[in-house]
Amino acid sequence: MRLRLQDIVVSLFLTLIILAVAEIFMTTVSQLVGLERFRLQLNILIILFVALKLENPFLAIIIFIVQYFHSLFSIEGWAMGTVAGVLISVIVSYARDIIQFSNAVATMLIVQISQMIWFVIIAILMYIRSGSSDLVVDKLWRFIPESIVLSLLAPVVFNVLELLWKKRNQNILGEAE
Amino acid sequence: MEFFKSSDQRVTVAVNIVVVGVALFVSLRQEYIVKKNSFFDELVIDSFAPVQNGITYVKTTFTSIFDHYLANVDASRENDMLKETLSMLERQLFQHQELERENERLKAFLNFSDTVSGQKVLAQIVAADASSDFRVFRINKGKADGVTIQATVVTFEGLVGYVFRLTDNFSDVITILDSNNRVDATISRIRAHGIVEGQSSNVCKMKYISRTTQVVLGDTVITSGMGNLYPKGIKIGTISKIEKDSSDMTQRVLVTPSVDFDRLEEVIILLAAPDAKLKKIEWNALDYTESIGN
Repeated sequence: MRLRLQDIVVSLFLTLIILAVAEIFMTTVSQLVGLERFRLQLNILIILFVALKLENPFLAIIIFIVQYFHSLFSIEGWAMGTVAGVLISVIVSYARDIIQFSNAVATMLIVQISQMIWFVIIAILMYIRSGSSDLVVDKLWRFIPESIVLSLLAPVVFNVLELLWKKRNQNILGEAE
Repeated sequence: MEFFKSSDQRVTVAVNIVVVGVALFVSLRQEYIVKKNSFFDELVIDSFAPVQNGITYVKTTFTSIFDHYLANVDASRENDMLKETLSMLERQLFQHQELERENERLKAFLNFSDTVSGQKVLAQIVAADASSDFRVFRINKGKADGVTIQATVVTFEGLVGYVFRLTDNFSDVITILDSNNRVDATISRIRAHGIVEGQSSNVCKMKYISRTTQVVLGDTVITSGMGNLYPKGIKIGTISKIEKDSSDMTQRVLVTPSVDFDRLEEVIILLAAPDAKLKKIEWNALDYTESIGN
């Protein structure tokens, strides 16, 4: 899906609103439904959508903005997620022809694989920064269930995001890409 | 090269390199000690945090109605009040015992108080951190209420953490369960010194305890007051596990926090930092005591 710079702004703004709603839900109500130790990070799904589905020279900037907004709800910061997101977008740019979102199962599978790449990148950065493998192992135990749930949610979330990005970014011939 | 024929590709590569380079530099230098907010950060946090506050208030009211009316009329509320009073009295008793030990040791002639002095502010927890990697929560007090960055956060049960990030009306508190929070600590019974660091969602580890130190299960761990972050004598927790490795010079000690973080709803922020003049008097007194002893 090719984008023009001037069409990105409104889509990105609406995406950030959705992210804010999700972050508020996860940080307040999630404990009521038993998610004391786990958090579903919708910013990861949004960044994967951006990396997997969108094409624009300024994808890295979009990823940075989404991560920066996420950092306002978490002390995690924007940097590590930005590195992971941009690297995944680079990997995807070479494999775009073979990635087919033909059905919901394919979407879940692609998102799960992407999340595993995300985890590896973040784990390397965490290990370099802290020098401790305990943190990485601890993160791995939480990553497994969190990533599975995110993958199950991916088809729905991707459909919503496609509505936001696709409708506003039809090409000059009037056809949505 | 054919790859760089298109201007879009050249721009993409350039933007990616710049963004990844800056992000890598920031991420590898990032330390989770304090975070200073920009104007935009404060604006967004102060905009969304009231929504978190409102949702948490509704959630708390709902669970309170269920606990106190539907589940058990009156008895549950009375039980909670009695537990709170008991915790407060236990904390006061613990502080008095610490005072006695300190006076016996070397401060008989100095009117030194070990209790936590200064102003305090009560705050409610409004939200948790959005990432499961961090044990951080947001409270509904900020600069406007006199809260400062790195202010100590406690409850009647013991130490909670310190203020990591601050806006006008809200603060983010990094708890002792977080691996990025390190507390200078002392084992109360034997005065052995170590560093308490977050380990998991319900336990901390105490590092740099030598193998020869006679630590026992149930020993109380308190803040040592060193490092200019936490006041001295605040209870951190009790030792719940000790492991000694024959090849290691130190022993692995786990500390169960005295604060029940799973049920934490309100905290107390200590507003007044230790008085610099009083600190100087204390250090002078210690020097005088040592010279008398010699």
